[in-house]
Amino acid sequence: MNTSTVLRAKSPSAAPIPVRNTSAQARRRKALQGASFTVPYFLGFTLFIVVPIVVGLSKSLYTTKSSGLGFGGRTTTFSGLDNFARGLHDGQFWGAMWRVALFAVVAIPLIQIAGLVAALLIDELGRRRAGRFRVALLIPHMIPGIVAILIWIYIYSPSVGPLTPLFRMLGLDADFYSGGLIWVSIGNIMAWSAIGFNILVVYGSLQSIPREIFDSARVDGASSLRIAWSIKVPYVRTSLVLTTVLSIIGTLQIFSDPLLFRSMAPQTVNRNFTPTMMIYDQAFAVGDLNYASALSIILAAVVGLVSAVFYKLTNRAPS
Amino acid sequence: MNGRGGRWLAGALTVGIAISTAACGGGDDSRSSGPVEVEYWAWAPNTDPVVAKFNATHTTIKIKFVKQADNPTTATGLRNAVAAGQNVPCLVQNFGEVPSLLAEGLLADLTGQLTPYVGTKGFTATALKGVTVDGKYYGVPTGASPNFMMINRKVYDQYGIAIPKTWDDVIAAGLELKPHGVQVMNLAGEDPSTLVSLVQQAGGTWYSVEGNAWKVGFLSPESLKAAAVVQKLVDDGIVANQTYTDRPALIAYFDQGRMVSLPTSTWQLANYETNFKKSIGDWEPIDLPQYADASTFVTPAHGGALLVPKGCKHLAEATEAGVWLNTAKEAIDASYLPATGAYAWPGAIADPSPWVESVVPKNLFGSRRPEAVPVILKATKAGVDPWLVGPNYTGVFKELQDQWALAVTKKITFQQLLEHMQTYTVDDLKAKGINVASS
Repeated sequence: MNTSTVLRAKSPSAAPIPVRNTSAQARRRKALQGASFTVPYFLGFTLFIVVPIVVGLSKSLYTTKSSGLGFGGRTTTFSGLDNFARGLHDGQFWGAMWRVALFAVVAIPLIQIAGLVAALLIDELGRRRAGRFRVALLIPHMIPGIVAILIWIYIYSPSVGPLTPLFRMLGLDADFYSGGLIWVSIGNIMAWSAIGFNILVVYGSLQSIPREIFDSARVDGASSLRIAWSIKVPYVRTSLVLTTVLSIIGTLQIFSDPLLFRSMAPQTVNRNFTPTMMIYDQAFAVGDLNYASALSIILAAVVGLVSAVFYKLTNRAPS
Repeated sequence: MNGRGGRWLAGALTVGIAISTAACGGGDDSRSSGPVEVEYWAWAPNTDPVVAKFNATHTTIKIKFVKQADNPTTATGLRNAVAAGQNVPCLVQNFGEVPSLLAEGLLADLTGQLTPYVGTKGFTATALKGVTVDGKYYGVPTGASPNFMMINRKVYDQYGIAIPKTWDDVIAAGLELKPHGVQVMNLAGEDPSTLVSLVQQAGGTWYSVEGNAWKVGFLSPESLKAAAVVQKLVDDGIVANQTYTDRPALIAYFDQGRMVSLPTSTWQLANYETNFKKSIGDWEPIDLPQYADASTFVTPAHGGALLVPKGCKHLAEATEAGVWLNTAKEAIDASYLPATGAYAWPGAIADPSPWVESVVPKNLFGSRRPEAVPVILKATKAGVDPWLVGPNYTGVFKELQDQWALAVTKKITFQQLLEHMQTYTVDDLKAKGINVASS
């Protein structure tokens, strides 16, 4: 650590700088070489992001119809924005959207606050001990989503899971799959897997705060709590905005949790429970790819809008 | 340094180009001479030895088996292959209902290829019905596995309850068991198959063809008759609602003796044999309960298909291979699975008797094991298939699942379920531009 700073401090004056006297052409080639490293990324981006968006957009402008008994060929006709008009008036789709939005409004702040508090607590520990906590808390995030949900389905199980007898011992009769608790159960899985990631991001930016500020704050008589609230939290604001935006995007697109919960509580979690479930259902059960594409675009627009508004509202410089 | 950088740049570009050309390419491996290769997609566990046997006994056709992960992956893979029009397999394990898959444009018309085998290979009439749409064949018949019931005889005896012969008996047994905290049956909230089976057993179907239009019959007398049975089971509070997704919980529940009658089939027995701990040996195979007014003994036997997708280049060879896989003695013999000691159920042929013994597990039925073979053979003989589904059944089934979940939790009645499904199905067909007969 020390030696490298010393070396870096020395180098500008000591070594001759060959870059300065090369021609503009060579510099351009150098830049191109650097840029070439992004080629695989842009190829992937084009193939897996741009192309599907273009295909989705074009699909959403058409309508496919069968005829007779439905076994002959299907005809696809240009229908303009009909699918979008239908989507904007689809009560089930917007019902799903509001359902998830309501969940997001409750769950996301709770998860963010829990992540922030945990990161602040870890920051109070020494570096070595913090490392151990960080790894432990990150483990849930490393478990693939579907696996995590299957684990939790077992844990929640009223027949064989360990939680039901535990709650019964406390005199509580909790059915994690009941209509009233289903979102709590889903939110708990989400928190379990997201908090570790949030802690990592927030803790990372906590580490970058110059320690001298804390020293001077302490000299001024500030308590740890006061330092956390007045210095640390404002400093990690951008990280919090980032994790929140990621949470908003992830939550509005929630799919695998309710999909697997559907078999546990099918009377609550219906086929159109969340927007993404409805899109999936339209595409692969109903077989209406055109309408599914239009709904996907509407969902993307809503997610984009909500994220942008949130970003705009929160990412102002502290006054 | 610069030279090396240049090579890197070239390398990166080459890799990029190679990736994009590979994505566009995709070879056609049909050869002009030698045996015809038929590609076969399946996820069933005992497919390898059957394919090996086929390849060892055939010279002009070879099956190339491509193991699939599961049902949904196969469905997605096939949809993509057919849409792309290349690398289309010629045989695919069934993942849906033939009419729905046909409406999706996934299936080839096999009428010409299959007809020569119809009289000669012993396909049962019910098995053939499963691949027939509007008088044409789409797929190789695989038939159905026999439906019967198994009951926890120890619990039945403990409370002195007679073995049910009719659905009314099942309900009566349920009422007697209820005070003891025992449920007579399980109706999983996500699985409306009990209702579907009951409609089939009553001789009904939700779709039928009338001229050039579909007649939708969710409110037919057969359908209402079936709904009345499940309504009674639910209203009396004598059934459980354990899900199939939480497998350990389900098996534990069955095993504890708290749920005592299970409509079942041959392919499920090995699973119960392996997982039941407490109740192993207590179960008894019995005939599927009938409607009280039934004149003949029937079991629902809706047949499935080995799919031959549209775009397969070797329809005749695919059909020949498919017929062999489902009817040849050698094929069924080769399907032996050592883990369960059972052969794949030969659902397409009239006489499965040489293989029946193998599907009956050693311990599940205890001293009543000898009763299993006659029960299974009786169920096979009594199989009927009045069932036909329409082109939109995949989506309709999803809606049915939602409605079923509401009905088994008493949020709606089964009458309301059927009324909703009638409206939903008619509206959905019409929205797709498909003709619906006014009823």
